[in-house]
This record gives sequence, structure tokens and C-alpha cells, in this order.
Amino acid sequence: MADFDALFDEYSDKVYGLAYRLMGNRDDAMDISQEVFVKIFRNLKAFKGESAMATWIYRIVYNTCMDELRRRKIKQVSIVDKPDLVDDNISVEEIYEADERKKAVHNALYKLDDDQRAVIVMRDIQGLSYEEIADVLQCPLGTVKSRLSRARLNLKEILKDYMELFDEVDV
Amino acid sequence: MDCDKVKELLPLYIDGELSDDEMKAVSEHLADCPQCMEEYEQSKNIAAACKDLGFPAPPPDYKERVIAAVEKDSKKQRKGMFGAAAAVIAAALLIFISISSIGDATGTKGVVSGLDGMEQQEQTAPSQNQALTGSDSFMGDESRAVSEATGSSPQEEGMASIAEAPQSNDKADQDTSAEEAPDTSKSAEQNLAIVSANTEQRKIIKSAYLSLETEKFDNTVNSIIGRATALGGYVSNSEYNNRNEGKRTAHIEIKIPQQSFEQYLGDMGGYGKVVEDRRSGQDVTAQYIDTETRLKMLKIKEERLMELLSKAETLQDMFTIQDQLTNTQIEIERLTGDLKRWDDMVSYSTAVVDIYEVAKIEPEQEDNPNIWKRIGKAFVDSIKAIGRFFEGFIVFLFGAVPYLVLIGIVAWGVVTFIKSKRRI
Ligand SMILES: [Zn+2]
Repeated sequence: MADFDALFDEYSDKVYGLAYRLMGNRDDAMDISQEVFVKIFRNLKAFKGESAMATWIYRIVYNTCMDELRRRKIKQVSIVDKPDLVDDNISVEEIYEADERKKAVHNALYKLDDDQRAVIVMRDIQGLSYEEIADVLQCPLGTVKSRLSRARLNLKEILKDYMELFDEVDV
Repeated sequence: MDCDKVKELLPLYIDGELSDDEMKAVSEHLADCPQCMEEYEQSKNIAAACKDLGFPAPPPDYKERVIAAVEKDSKKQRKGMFGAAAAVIAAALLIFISISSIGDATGTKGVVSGLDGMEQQEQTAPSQNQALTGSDSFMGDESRAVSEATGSSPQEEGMASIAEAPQSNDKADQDTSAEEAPDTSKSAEQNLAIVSANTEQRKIIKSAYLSLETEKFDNTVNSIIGRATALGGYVSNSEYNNRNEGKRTAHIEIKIPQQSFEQYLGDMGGYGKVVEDRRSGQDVTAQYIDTETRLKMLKIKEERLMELLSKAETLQDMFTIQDQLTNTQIEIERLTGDLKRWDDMVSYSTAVVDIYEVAKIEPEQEDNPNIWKRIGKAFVDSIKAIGRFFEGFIVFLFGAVPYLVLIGIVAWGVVTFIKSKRRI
């Protein structure tokens, strides 16, 4: 189990974080993370190192999330509302360290299509390179570029009523 | 290049991922088009805001849950591989049920005390030899050899107990046939003492999930956080959502000193309508004790290595010992960390509370409010009963090893026979 500890310590936070940002809530992030590590340990022997360990693991996270999201869409038993855009009259900021910009972006992300949200999360939140994203998604670099391009335009469009939040130049 | 084209290229421009010509053209356009410059700043700031979101920290029981899932899965896979073994165990279960229903209590009791003796020996190493010598009179040469092997390698606890299982059974059989009651009852008493000592310092990680509905959202949130602080707790994480219709929600994770946990949860009803209340406790006593034991042994090893190091005569010896010493110390550090983490998780319980703002609280439905608790209790009782049943079964299983081997061989023969027939 020594391998497990090392591997877990290195990737656990990233797996959970990526799952959280793709799924949008903690319960799902936990379920997905468990499933991901089960898959990792089933397939660790089969992992040939043809790609980096990191992107291999992110690929498992991405595929597991997309499978789950797709499964839910097909089921459509009850349509769960995606989080709506944030209202302006917030009264308990002091407790939540409310950051208008973060909230607006967080909510806007879940209005994007799942595959577009995925590229934004991997590029802008996780900071992966275009090449790494292409490796995770198993698609050509051009596809990453066009998908990210569309995703950013859509995200900006969703946020257009909140643009004053993004006007001030800061570090 | 016109403004529309520039807007289209901006998303990749901010990463510098356009062709050289395009990068240059966009840069030149931005230099003398204030509107596009503003668009550019906004795009950059949105990307920066995404980066600010970051990844949330996983919950404290994350690793335990992942390990549990992985272990469960690997067991499932092993089960698939050893389907035949499962069939044999099922057969043993049937035999066990029939025997225990006949009421052959003495036989199983004997096995129980035999196995208990083994457990005790694992936990209290010094008294182990004494216990074994005490039963020497019943043992043949073969079993004495096993006990000597156990004594000589205390590190290999797991292996030792497996090697010991059938022998304990032999001993028990002889106990009952020779009617050596005093010896058995004595060891049973000792075991009882050990068990009760353990229950007093059980390491249980408590957590609860509650979901509350409230008309007075701000009051509820403030009360829940205020009460936690008053009890010596703190908020470890919180998220806040404000939807269009003005129905706000909050997700708060709170750490409360364990001794005040029940009290805190009990107070929740006063802050809003509790629509969901799930509580759980994860017992890590076994892992904790195991880790403590390993830590003790490692510290002994560390001491010995340091002693050796001071006596080392060649450089090569010194390097080898130093290397081992470093590894041992790293492991000691890791285990100490594990223990501390468990202590922290045990001393602070976790309450996860979701709060939903509602226009008006739905009136309570006209059913007995305790029914769910009763169902829950009945469920837990049944699980416990099943647990007790399987304890008995496992004890029996060890006792039945000789028969099982026989049944296994027969089953294997049958399976091979069928397979060979199919192939033809
Ligand atoms: Zn322009």
C-alpha cells in the first residue's frame, strides 16, 4: 500500500478539485473521486506511461465526470436547476467573505456546456497547457483551441450583465 | 483587421496561442481601438477570476473513504476470481447453520476461547508465551513448534495468527473432550477485561449532515455559527448561493469539540426546520491501535539502529545503517502524523449543514415524528445482529478448516471435471 499513499498524496487534491469544478458540488466530487481511485488502482498495471501519469489521471477524472453528467441527462428524471446568477443584494458578506467576481464566475461556469466548462476548468483554474489538455481529452490541439475559444466567448456572454466586475484592472 | 475578427481571436490571444501574424495584427489593432482594448482587459480579468476560484480542499475523511472504496473493489475482484472458494464458504455456512441450530454450543464455545486467546496474545506480547506454555500440556510436538515460531518473530503478527488458527481449534477440541474447564474460563475472563478496556477509549470520528429550512435565513446562519463558536468550535468551510428568486442557500462545515457535538446537533431544531439529519461515526480504533503498535516497534528499531551506528566500524556499514535509520525515521514521522490526524479528527466532530431559505415553512406532516428514528434503530439493530452472526460464523470457519479443505478438494475436483468435459 506504500504506492497507494504516495500516489494518493500527490494527486488526491487535484482529483477532488477537478471533480468538484466539473460536477459543481461536494457530494458528487466525493463519489467521483472514489470511483477515480478505484479505476486508477485497477488499471495501474496497465498504465504503460505512454502519457504522463498526471494527464492519465485527469483523463480518468474527466471521463468519469462526463459519463456521469451524460447519464443524468439521459435519465432526466427531474431537472435539477443549475445555480443561477448571483443577485446583488447580499446581506451576510462578512460571514462568507463574499467575492462578487468569484460568485459570478462560479455560477456562470455551470451555465456552460459540460465540455466547454471542462476546458475552462483545466486551462484557467488548473493551469494545464494546451498540449496537456489535448492529452487529457485525447483530441488534436486544434480541437482544444477551438473549444476553449468558444467556451471563453460563451462565458463572457453569460457574464455580460456583470461586466463592471471585470473592468477594473488588478494584478 | 476589423473589430469582430479581433473579438473572435481574443480568447486565444490572451494565452498567446495565435499564429505570429495574428498575434501581431491583434496587438496593432488593440493599440488604437479602445473598445477592443476594453474587451481584452475583460477577457483577461475573467480568466484571472477563474484562476482565483481555485480548487476546494477535500473533506477530512477523504482518504479513509477512498481507501475503503478501493479495498471494497479489490475484494470484489478477488471474489470474482475465486468464485469456487465462495461456493465452498457458502457450503460451510450451511453446515454452520445446521450445527448451531442443533445446539452444539460447547464446540463453538471452545473454538471461541481458543481464538480469543490468540487475539489476546497479539495485543499483549509479554503474556503471550505464558498463555502458550499453559496449554502446552494439550499440544503435540507440531503445535509447540508453531508457538515457538510465533514467539521468535513477533513482527509477523498477521502470519502468526493464520498459522495458529487450526492449532487453536485442535486445542479447543481437546479442551472440551478432556473437560479442562478452568483453563478456558480463565482466558475468557482475561479477554473480557481487554475488550472492556478498549471500549472505554474507542476512537470514533463523528460526523453529521443536516439540512435546514428557514424563513429567517440570516438569523439561522448567525445562530448556527454563533453557537458553534460558543461551544469552542469553528467554521472550516462555507459557501453561499443567492438565487434569482431570492431563495438563498448556504453550505457550512463546522468543527465542534466531540464532547459538545450531540448538544450542538440537538440545538439545531431551534434554528430552523430540520428536514434531514444523518449522523455517522467511523470507528478507527483498530487502525489506531495497529498504528500505535507499529510505531512502538519502529521506535525500538530506531534505538537499535542508533546503537549499531555508534558501533559501526566500516564506512560501508555506516552508510547502510544510516540509510535504514533514515527510512525508519521517515516511517515514524508518517505514523506519528497519522495518529495526530486521527486524534484531531476524533476530538473535533464535523457537522455539515445546508440551509435553505423558504417563503413559508411547510406544515409538519401528520405522521409520528419518531418513526424514522425507530426504523433507523431497527435497521442498526439488524445490522448488529448480522455482525454477531458472522462473528460466530468466522469462529466456526476456523474450526471447520480441516473439513473445508476436504470440501474444497472435492469441489475443485468437480469443477475441473465439468470444465474438462465442456472443453471436449
Ligand atoms: Zn476594435
